[in-house]
Amino acid sequence: MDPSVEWNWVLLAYGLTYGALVLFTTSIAVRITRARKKLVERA
Amino acid sequence: MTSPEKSELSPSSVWPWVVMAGAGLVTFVAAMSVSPDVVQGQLSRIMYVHVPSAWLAYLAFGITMFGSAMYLWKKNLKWDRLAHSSAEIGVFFTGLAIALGMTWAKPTWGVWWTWDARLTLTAIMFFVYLGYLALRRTTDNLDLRAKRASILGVVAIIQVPLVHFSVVWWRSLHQAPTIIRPEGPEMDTSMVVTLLIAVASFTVMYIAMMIKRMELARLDDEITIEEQSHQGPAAGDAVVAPDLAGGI
Repeated sequence: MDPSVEWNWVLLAYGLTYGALVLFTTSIAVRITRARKKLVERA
Repeated sequence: MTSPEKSELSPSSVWPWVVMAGAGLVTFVAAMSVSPDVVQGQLSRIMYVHVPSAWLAYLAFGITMFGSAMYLWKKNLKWDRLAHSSAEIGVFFTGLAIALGMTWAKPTWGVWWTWDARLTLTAIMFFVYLGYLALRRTTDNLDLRAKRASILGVVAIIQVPLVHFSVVWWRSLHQAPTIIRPEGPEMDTSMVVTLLIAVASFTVMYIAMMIKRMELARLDDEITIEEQSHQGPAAGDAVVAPDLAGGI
């Protein structure tokens, strides 16, 4: 296989990995912020 | 009911996010620095994210089993929060391992997916743990929720050895273990070292993720308790079942 084609697959895999990691960790951060806001409002 | 400790809403720590970013960077630099494989060429670099993702799935579900067993023994909700947090992260990394495996399979096997024992069992494990997360949403009663989830959390661990040894027990398109095997690693030392760096970095990432995910689980439990303490009696609470046994 042409190395440039191989690199395309590698880029896809790493883009997928880091994109998914950023989305997942952001979702945790957003949920923490919302939960803390909710608790502060009720306190 | 065992109530969660009140957090008093101390400032949320930032360092786990920094650790996660650092671990991600270490993996990337290590994976891009190592020489490509003589047969697979650049495609072998996918291994440095695919294998650590699969490893974290095993680790996360193992911690889920541990937390679940501890909850069933101690009846303390902090163990349930550990199990829940780890299961969610485990589902994420299982999904990622499957997606990365597909990205690797297409250029090497020629197909995105095949009903191979390893792939099929991994997909089943993914859906069973999704079911674990869904099961937790069936009730707002924290103790009942924890009990139901813990039973599944303990039973579901049987899938991890099934998935791992599937390539040994059945004829599989997926390659057999290349690192942990009686004859020693079947890879070049530089690739083994890079893979170990990637696995270690992902494990650090998992620990940092768990710290933040458990913070979220504790806050969620506090909100549930807060909501339940302000709720009036539910419809039907005042209805008393007639004593039919007395009439017989």
